[in-house]
Amino acid sequence: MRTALALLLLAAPLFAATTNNDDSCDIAVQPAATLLLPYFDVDLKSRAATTLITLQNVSPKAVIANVTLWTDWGFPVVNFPVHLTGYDVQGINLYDVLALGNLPPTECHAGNIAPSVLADVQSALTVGGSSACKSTIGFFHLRAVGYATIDVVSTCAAKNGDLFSTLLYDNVLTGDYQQIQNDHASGGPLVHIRAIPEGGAAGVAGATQLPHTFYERFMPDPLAQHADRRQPLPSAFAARTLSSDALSSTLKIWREGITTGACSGAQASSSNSSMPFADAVRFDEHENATVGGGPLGIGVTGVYPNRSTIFPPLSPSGDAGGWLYLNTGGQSWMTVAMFGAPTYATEATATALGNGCSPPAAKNAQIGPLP
Amino acid sequence: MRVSAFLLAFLFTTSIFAANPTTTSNDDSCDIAVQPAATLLLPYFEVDFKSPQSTAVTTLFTVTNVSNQPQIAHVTLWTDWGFPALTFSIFLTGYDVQGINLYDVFARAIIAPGSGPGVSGTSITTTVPVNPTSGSQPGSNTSNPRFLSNAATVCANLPGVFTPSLMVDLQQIFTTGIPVDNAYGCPPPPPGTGAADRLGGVHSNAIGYATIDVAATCSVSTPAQSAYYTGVLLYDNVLTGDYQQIVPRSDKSYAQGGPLVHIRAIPEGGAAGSLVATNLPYTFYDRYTAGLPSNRNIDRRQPLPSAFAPRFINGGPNGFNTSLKIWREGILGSDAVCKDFVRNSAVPVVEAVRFDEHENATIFVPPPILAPPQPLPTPLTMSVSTANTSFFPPFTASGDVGGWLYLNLNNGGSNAYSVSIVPPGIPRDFRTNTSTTTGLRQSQNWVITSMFAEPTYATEATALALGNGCSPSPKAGAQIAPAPNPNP
Repeated sequence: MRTALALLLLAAPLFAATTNNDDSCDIAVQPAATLLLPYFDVDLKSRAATTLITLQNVSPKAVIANVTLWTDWGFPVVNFPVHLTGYDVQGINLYDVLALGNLPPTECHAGNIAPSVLADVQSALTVGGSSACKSTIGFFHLRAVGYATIDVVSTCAAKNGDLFSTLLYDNVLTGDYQQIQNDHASGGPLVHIRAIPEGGAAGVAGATQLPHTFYERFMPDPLAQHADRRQPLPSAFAARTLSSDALSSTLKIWREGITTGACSGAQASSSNSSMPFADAVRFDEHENATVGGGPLGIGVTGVYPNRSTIFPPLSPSGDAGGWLYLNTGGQSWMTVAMFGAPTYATEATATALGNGCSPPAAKNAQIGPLP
Repeated sequence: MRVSAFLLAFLFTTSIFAANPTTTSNDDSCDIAVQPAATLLLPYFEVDFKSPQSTAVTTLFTVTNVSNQPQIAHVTLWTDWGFPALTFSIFLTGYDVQGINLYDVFARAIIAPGSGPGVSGTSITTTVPVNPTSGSQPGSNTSNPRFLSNAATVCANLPGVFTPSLMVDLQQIFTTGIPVDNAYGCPPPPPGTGAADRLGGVHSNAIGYATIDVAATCSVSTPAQSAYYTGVLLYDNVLTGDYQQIVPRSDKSYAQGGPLVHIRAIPEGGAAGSLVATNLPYTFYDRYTAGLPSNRNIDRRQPLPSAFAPRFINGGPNGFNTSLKIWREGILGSDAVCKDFVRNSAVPVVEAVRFDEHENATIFVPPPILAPPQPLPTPLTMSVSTANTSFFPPFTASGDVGGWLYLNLNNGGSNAYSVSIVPPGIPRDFRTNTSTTTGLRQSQNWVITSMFAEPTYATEATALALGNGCSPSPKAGAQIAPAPNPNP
C-alpha cells in the first residue's frame, strides 16, 4: 500500500493533465467545427447511385454550416450555406445538388444553383473542366466525384476564397453519410474535426497548441497559419484488405493537397493530381510483406480496389486477406469498404497509427503505432 | 492523514497542469478514436446458431496486431446481463490478423480454425516470415518482453475447438440465460423461478458482447476477476479490429459493420500488474477492480462516454428504418454471484429526448404516479428500433419521420464503481474524488446507429458522443449540448 501511493505521487507529475474534453488531437465522433466527407460519387443521370449526407446541430443555438464541394484534385467548385436552428437536422442528397441544382431550403435562403453555374459544376466534377478555369482541375470520370467540407461559419454569405474571415470555432456539428450504389448501401460518420480550443469570433486568431491544422495551407497570414484551430488529420494508416471470390475490399483515400487548388500558377490544383505514398507495405494473413506499388501517385480523393497497382502486390501465399500499411506523409483519411455478392456491403474507418500531432513516420521505419 | 496528503498532492499537480496543459500528446486523451488500442469492444453480437450457415445471421470480427512484436489477444464473450461465459486467447505474431466468425463458436465449437482438426490457427509456434524490409519484419514469437514465462508453453497448444457440451451450455446461456448444469458454479434455477438466478436474457439468437484485451499470457481468467489485473492484462496500444454483422436473405441479403470500439491504455506500457499512475478519473474496467482498493485505475483503460446523439429515420419515401445497438456498463462488480446478474437486466436510463426535423422535442409522458418520466431500463447490450416508444420518447405530432435522439444513458451509479457513495453516505465527485453534492460518477455506454431500407440498403455508423468518458455527465433536464470543456 505504501509503495503504491509513493509510485502514484512520483509518477503523476510526469503525465500531462490531458484528459479534458475537447483537448486532444484524436479524431473522435464528437461534436466538431468542421466535418469532412472524404469521398462522394454521384450519377448525374440517375438517383440509383448517389451520396447522402446529414448535418446535425447538437447545440441550442442556431449555426450556419458552409458546405464546399471540391474536385478530386482539390479545386473548390461550389459552396452553399445551410442554416441550422438549434437542435436542427438537415439531410442533403448530392444528386439533388449536382444533378438538379437544388440546394437545401433553409433560413439562409440560398436559392438554387443557376443552370449555367450548374453545368460548370457538373463539368468540373466529371471531366475536370470548367469555363471558369482553362486548366484541368480534376480527373475524368463518368460520375461526379470529389469530396466535401462543412464548416461552422458566421454568415450565409461565406466565400471559399475568404474562408478565414468567416470561420467560427464552435464544436457543435455532427453528421453522417450514406453511399447508395444501385442495390446496396454503405456509410458511416463524417470525419469530425474539432476546433482546439473552441469558441471566439470569426477572424480572431486565437492561440492553439496544435502543431499543424487542417486548413493551414489556406490560412492567409503566414504568422497565423494555425488560425483555423482545426485538428490535423493523421498520415499513417493500417487498412484491412480482402480479395476472395466471396468478398473484396476497396479503400477510399482522402489526402491533403500539396497546394490550395487554384486554377493555375504555383498553387494550381494539378499539383494535387499525382501525390505518391511515403511508404506502402502489404501484409498477408501469414505476415508476409510485399513492398512497392505503381509509380504513379494519387489525387486528393479516390477509391481503389485492393488489387490496384497503386498498392504493393499481393504475396504469392494465396492468402485472400491481410492489411495495408500506408503512410502518405501528410494529412489523410482512409475508409475500408467491403463488398460481397449479392449485396453484402460494409464500411469502416481505417485505423490511424497515430493522430495528426504524432511525429511523421520515416520511410522504411519499423511499422507500428506511432509514439 | 495519508489520504489527505495524497489528495492535496493530486489537486496541486492538477492545477499546475491546468495552467499549462500539454494537450496534443499522442495516446494521452479520453477521446475514443480509431487508433491502436489495448482493449477492443464489440458492443453487440447476434448469432443464429440453429440455422445452416448459408441462412444464419452471424457476427464476424477481425483483430489485427499492428506492432512488430507478438501479442496475445484475450477474448471474452459476455451475455447481455454481463456474465462472462467464454474466454479464449488468440496468439498474434507481429503484424498478424485473425478473423473470428461467431457462428463457428456457437454452432461448431470452433474458435480459430487451423491447419488440422482441433488445431488452432493461432499459436506461439507459428512460423515467422522473413520480410523484404526491416521496417516490415515481425519479431520472433518470443520477443515480447511483457509475456509471462509460461506463455511459451500455454500459448503453444491453443485449442482450435472446444467440447460439444460447452457449446450446448453456451447456446443455452446466450439464448435463455440458463446454464445446462453447474459447470459455471451457477446451477440451473428451478422451473418457474422467472429471471432469478438467470445469467442472460431470453432471445431466439445468441446475443451478447465481446471484449478483446492485450494480455501477458494465454489464460482462462476473465476480466471480472481481480487476478486478471494483477497478472494477465497488459497495456500496449497495438490492437485494431472491425466487425461485420451478416444477414443472409437470399437475393436480399445485407451486411452492416464498422470498427470495434478502440479503448487505449493511458499511459501505455509496463508489465502485467504494474502500478502506473493515470490521469483518467476512472477506467473502463473500473467496476471489476474493487478487490484492488489501492489502485482502482489499474487497467488504465479509457472510460466510455455517457451521453449520445444518434440520428433516426423511421419511414418516409425510401422506407428507411433505424435501430440502435446500445452497450451499457453493468452495475455489478467482481463479487457478483449467480443470483446478482438479473440486476444487469434492467439498468436505468437518466434521460431521453426525441427531436424531429423541425426541432420539436418529445419526452416520456409522466406516469400516473407522480414520478419523473423516464425511459425503460435496459440490459447491457441490445438492438432496438428507434420506433420503439417503450425505450424512446414518442414521435412528435408533426409527421416528421426523421430527427435525432438525445440519450443520457447514465445509469445513476453503482457501489461497485470506484467513485460512489462512501460511508456515511457522502457522494464523491468523479474527477477529483472529493466530497460533493453532485454525487456518483456516470456509467459508460456506446451507441451505434443502424439504418436499413428494403430490399438491401443497410448502413451502420458510430453515434455521436456529446463528450468523452472524462466529461461530466449532464443532469436530467439540463440544457442539451456538447459536453462542457473544462479547460481554463
